Amino acid sequence: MKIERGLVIMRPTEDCNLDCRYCYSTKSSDVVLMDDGTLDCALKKILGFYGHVTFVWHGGESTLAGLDFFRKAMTLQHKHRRSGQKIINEIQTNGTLINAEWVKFFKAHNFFVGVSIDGPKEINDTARINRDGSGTFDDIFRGILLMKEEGINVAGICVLAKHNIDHIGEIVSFYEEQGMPLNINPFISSGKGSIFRDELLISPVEFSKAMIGLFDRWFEAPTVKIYDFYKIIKSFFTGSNNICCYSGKCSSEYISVCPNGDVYPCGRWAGEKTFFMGNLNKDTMRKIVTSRAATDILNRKEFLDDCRDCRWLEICNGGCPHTSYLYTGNIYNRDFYCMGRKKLFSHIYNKISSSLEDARRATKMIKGGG
Amino acid sequence: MKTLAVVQAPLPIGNVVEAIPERFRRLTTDGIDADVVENPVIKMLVEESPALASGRRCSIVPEDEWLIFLD
Repeated sequence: MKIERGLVIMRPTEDCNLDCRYCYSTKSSDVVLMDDGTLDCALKKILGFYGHVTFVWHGGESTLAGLDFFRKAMTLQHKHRRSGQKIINEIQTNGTLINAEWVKFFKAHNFFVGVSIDGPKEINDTARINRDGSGTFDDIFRGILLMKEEGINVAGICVLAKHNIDHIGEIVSFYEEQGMPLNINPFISSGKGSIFRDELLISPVEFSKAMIGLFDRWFEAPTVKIYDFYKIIKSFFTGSNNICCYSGKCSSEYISVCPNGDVYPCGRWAGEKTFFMGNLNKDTMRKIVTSRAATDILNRKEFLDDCRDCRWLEICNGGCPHTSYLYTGNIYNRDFYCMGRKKLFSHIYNKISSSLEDARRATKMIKGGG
Repeated sequence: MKTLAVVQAPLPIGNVVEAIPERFRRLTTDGIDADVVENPVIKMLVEESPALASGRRCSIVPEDEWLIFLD
C-alpha cells in the first residue's frame, strides 16, 4: 500500500512562547520535544510510505525546537529520501524568534514560511499576545522583514474571529502592502480559544458575509493572493479541493505527528484519543492509515445524511470532521461553518460562471462578426 | 455511528426511480478568447486554462499550496 502524495504536519514541540487568545492547540502528551529516535523513525516510515511528501513543521511554536533539531531533520530526510522522491518543507511559525541564523537555514533548505499575523498592529495585538498580555506585532513583523530581505517565500495566516471580522478589509490591505499571500481561517472553539468562545466565535453567516464582501473586492482587483479563493475557484474546474478541510482525505493524505510519535488525522485532533491512529515508534504507516480512526474519517462522506443532496458535496466532502466533532460531538454531522461555506461557494460560483458566459458570448460575437 | 438512511416514498413495483442530487456543473474556459476578457480573475483563468485543466503549476494552481492550518 502506497499513497502518491502526503502532507505531514510535524509537531516537534507543542510548547509556544505566545499566549494567543484564540489558540486551538492542546497538548497531546507530556513529551515536550520530539527526540532524535522518534524523529528518525518518523521520517524513515513517512518517506518510505508516501511517493512525495510535504512536511509542514508546526507546533506549538516549532522554532522552539531549535535549529539543531531542524538541521538533524534535514540530514535524516536526506538519508531516508528515495530516488526521485520530492520533499517540500514548510514551517508555520509565529515569527517572533526568527533571526539571521533561521533565515540562513530556511534559505539553504528552500523552506516555505507561513507566519501567523492578523494584519496591522492595532488589530493583530488584540488577540495575538505574549504571556504578559503585551502585543506581538513588532516581533512578528521584524521576523517577516528579515525573511523577506533574504528572498524567503513568506505567506501568512489570519484567524478570523469576532474581534477582527469587521476589519477584514484592513487586514487584507496590510497583506497587500507587504506583498504577502494569505489564508483566512475562521476561529474554532478549541484549546485556549474555547475559554474565550463567547467573545471570539463568529456565526457561519457572519463568516460568509465577510468573505463574500472580500471576494467581491478581490474579484475586481486581485492584488494579493488569497489562497482560499484560489482553491475554491480551482475546485469548480477540477471537481476536487485540496484544502485539507474540504479534501475528505485527512488521515490518509494528511496526517499529523505529535512530539512522542503519536499520529492523528491533523494537529487539531492531537490528544483526542478517539481519533488516535497509531504511533510511529511502534506501528507501520500501513497500520496507521488503516486504523479505525483513519477509516472512520475517510468513510465519513458516505454517512453524512445532511450532505447527501448538497450541490457542493464533491468539493467539500462534508467539511472539517474535527469541526463537526468539536461542535456536535459527532463527525457524521456537518461542519459548523457549513451554511456559510455554502453561501460563499454559491456566490463565487455564480460570479465566475456568469462572467465566463459573458466572455463566451463576447468571443462568439467578435468571431461571428469577422 | 449512523447508518445510511434509505428514505424513499412508496413507488409502484417495477417503477423505482432513484433521485439524483443536483450537483454543480464544472466550469470551463472553452470558447473564450482571452483578448475579450476585461476582468483580471477571469483573464487569469482563461490564460492559464491549459495548466488549470492539467493540474500543472500556474497561478490558479499554485505549487505553494500550503499554510492551510490554524495557528
